[in-house]
Amino acid sequence: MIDAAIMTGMPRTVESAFDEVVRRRETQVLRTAYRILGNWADAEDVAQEVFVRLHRHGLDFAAEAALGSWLYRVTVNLCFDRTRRAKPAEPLTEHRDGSVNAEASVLREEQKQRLMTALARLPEKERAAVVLREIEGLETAEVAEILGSSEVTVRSQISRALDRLRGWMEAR
Amino acid sequence: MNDDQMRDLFREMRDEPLPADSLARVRLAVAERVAQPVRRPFWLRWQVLAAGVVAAVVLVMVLRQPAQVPAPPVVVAKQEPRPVPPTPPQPIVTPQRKPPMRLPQATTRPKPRNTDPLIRLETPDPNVVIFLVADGAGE
Repeated sequence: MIDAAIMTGMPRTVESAFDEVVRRRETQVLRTAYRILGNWADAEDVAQEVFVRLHRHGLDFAAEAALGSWLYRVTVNLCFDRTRRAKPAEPLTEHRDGSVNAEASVLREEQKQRLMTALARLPEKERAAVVLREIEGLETAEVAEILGSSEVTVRSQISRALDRLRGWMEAR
Repeated sequence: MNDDQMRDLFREMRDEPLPADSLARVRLAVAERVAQPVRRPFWLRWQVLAAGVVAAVVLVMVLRQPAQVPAPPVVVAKQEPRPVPPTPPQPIVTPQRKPPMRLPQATTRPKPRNTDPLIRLETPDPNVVIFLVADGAGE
């Protein structure tokens, strides 16, 4: 709703509207980048670049959903560029607050860690499809639009990816 | 691990809070980069510079040309028709027609002149002379 108010041209300056979009969307962008790239440093760089590009592009979006899709698309593309340039060899580590760690069971944390490691082994398209649909909770049609594929392709990629992930998780 | 368990793990990942320092770094870096003036790449700056130089040269060339003054209106004075001096009568030259070309005519062999014998008889009167012509048969 707040983003929609910004889009409809409330009496605010452009810069303050942009700052508000950054605050509302930074979690989405940073989380997506981190799940695809597997490390926080690269994810932060990508998130910065996404918002700088948004600033250049402007906030002229037809609807709230259009802004969300645009951010996802740019995030995924920048992550692909980065993974193609340099393969991340850094092990995946979760930066967790102490309070969160205290609440979570050790077994659960271990499972998540293994799942993240397995996710990093997937091909980039399959990884992005799983991140967008399973972690970000997008519809298959939205994922297909963001990745520039058909829905059938995305379903196939996700099914194949889940099979692989299950196999890797059980292999250990 | 089945698909449902895996999906539960994915859902938990989505709900996990992100590190506050990472978010703060992103926000700060974005604010800094957005506040900076847009820096053009090196090659683009050279292009802009070259275009500026060309524009300046063209401007100087245009300014150095003399200003074009509009041409004064042409005043045509009406003149009285001058008396035309009498011209001597020109000899009428009739075009001479070329003689028609004669087509070559078939040459005919000249007829042989009459070679009949002519006999002149003079009489005692000097004013009377008798000519006798004989035909080819001698008669």
